Amino acid sequence: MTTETHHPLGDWEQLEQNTAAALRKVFHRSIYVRHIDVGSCNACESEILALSNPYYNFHRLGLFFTPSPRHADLLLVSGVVTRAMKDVLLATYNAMPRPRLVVATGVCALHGGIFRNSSWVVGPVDRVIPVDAWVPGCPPTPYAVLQGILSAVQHRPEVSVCE
Amino acid sequence: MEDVQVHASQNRELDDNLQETQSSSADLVAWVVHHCLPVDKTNLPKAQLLYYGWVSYPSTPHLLAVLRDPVTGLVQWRFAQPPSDGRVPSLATHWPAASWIEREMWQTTGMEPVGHPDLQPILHPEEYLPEGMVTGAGVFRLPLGPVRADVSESGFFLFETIGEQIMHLQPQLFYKHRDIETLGIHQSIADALLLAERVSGTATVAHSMAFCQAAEQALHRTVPVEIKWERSLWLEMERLYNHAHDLAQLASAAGMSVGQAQLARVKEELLRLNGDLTGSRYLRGSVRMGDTCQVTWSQVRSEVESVLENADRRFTHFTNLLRHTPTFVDRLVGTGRVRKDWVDAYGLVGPVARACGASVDSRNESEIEQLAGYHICLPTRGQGDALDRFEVRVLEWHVSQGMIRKLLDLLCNGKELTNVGKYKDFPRPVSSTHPIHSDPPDGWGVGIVEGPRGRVCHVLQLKDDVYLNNSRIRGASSWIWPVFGLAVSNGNIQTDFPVIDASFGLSYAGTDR
Ligand code: SF4
Repeated sequence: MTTETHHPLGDWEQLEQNTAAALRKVFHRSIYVRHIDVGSCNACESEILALSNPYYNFHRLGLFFTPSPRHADLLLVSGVVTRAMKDVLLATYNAMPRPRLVVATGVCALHGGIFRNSSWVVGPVDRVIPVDAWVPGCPPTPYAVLQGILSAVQHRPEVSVCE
Repeated sequence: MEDVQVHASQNRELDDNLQETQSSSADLVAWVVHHCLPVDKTNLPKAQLLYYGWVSYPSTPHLLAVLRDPVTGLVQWRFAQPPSDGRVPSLATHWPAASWIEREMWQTTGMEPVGHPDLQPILHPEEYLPEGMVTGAGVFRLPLGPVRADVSESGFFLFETIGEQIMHLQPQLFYKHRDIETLGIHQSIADALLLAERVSGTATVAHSMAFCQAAEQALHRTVPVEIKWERSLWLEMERLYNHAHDLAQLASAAGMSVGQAQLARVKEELLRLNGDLTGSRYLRGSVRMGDTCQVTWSQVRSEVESVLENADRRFTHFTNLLRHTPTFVDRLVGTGRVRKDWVDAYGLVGPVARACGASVDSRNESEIEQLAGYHICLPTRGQGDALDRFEVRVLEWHVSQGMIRKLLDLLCNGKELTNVGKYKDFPRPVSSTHPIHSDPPDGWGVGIVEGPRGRVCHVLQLKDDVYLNNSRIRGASSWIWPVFGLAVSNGNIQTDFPVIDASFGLSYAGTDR
């Protein structure tokens, strides 16, 4: 099989162990994640949803999805911000308690990607709200999203203070 | 100055070309109604509407309808120039299937469909939110979205309820309208293909394949049969992971965590297989213009087969368990029922239509069946409720598994894919009765593919064989969305909504474009 040459991430298991160890070191306790789609093609959502499947099972790391932004510590944004979603994104962000983190997932959220020239599009996520971590990829793999969450927490260490 | 003249004369030439298929807008609507609507209740419609809408060619918007006869495969094109006041007769008065597209046309081009039963804005949901339709004592309005629970796409729903009973539901989409069709104009074919892949991420193969077919038709090219086999294989791989995903979501909506986890696991394994084979878990870049994916099938065959077999075993086991779980079946039976007459009235496609007993499947009507030497048995069911949509997807999974095995066989025993040659060596046969070969106006092409959610159709026009002049996209979900609201308010209560939502498994991105 062509696994070695094609695999962008190399050894899955090793990666998983490292990520799990690093996450535990940083998080200590659980983090609640709210996802928002501001104009994606749905592949990014599919990868984010995969975080909760038995392979990634991000609950074991203390990460959970929450239905309400009022309970969320971290906002996971996917897609390029369309004009219709701009105010919705702002409202969601403003509804979150502080401190709050924002992770932009996918090329679209990073800089608009292939849709950046559309007149229906406002632009990348950081044009509307501050972003703590960017996750490249089209779509980023679930591991990359986990990595993004991790670096967001490292980038703003006060969030993880719970001792 | 010279440039301008050249351009103008070119346009005139192309205009002349269009003359043959031109008609007045009233004729065009009458033509569609005549061909697509059943004369009486017992008659089947004669033709399928592949595309209806507007194209901006050469400079002013024209109406365009593309029809196909599902039996003979003949595709017919017709353009119409709207009158100068922009008032065109509405197709939606005769046929509700055209309702959404006419509302979009009215907002985008200013052409007014006269007599439209429900002419209100559909784009710019940030400015125009739907207003209620139900009045009376005890009516309660519940807005939901665009940000909803769980990881989902953005869309807005206005529920109108009396007590628990849902009286009316209006879905409002187009929050994610990125105007991909306009973005595609003046792009090279290769760049536009990237856009086509990103119309709906979980239907990447369906959209890119439809796009390539359309572009190849416009270029008067055909691809070697080996490439067609490989594309079909990717299409079935896409169907497998999508069906696993939809069923996992359905299990989750009905509170079956084990079923959900196990089916999500099946999906993940299939995504990893895709990633191993093509470098992209969502099969991006797997369908290329006149080229293969450079996979050496004979080397990877046993690996692919063993992954698929494992996935099949788990899938069969857990769908069987679900089927024998009374609490699961109870939630699905009679929930979100789609009435049979809505199938024709809204031109339904995909598993949703097949769950109502309609045998619509573009794979059946395409040439790949003959090329690969199999016949697809369409699994259909009769009740049109959530349980039937579950069953149809389960059956389709097994059909796809069989198709993949057959296609693998062909790919391994055929020529090495690296040696099949590029499509440049394969000019299109001059006269052919094949569906996608019936002749469109010069420079135009249409691609028809049965994606996981139903028929995906791309219509495009090339300029100088290199750039796109027009690009129109009709995803499968855009046919089904108008029925979704009807099915939800068809005698269901609030708590049925997640089950109905999951059983339809519609794409927002593919409809918003
Ligand atoms: S980054 Fe890629 S996968 Fe994600 S929304 Fe954008 S186009 Fe889709």
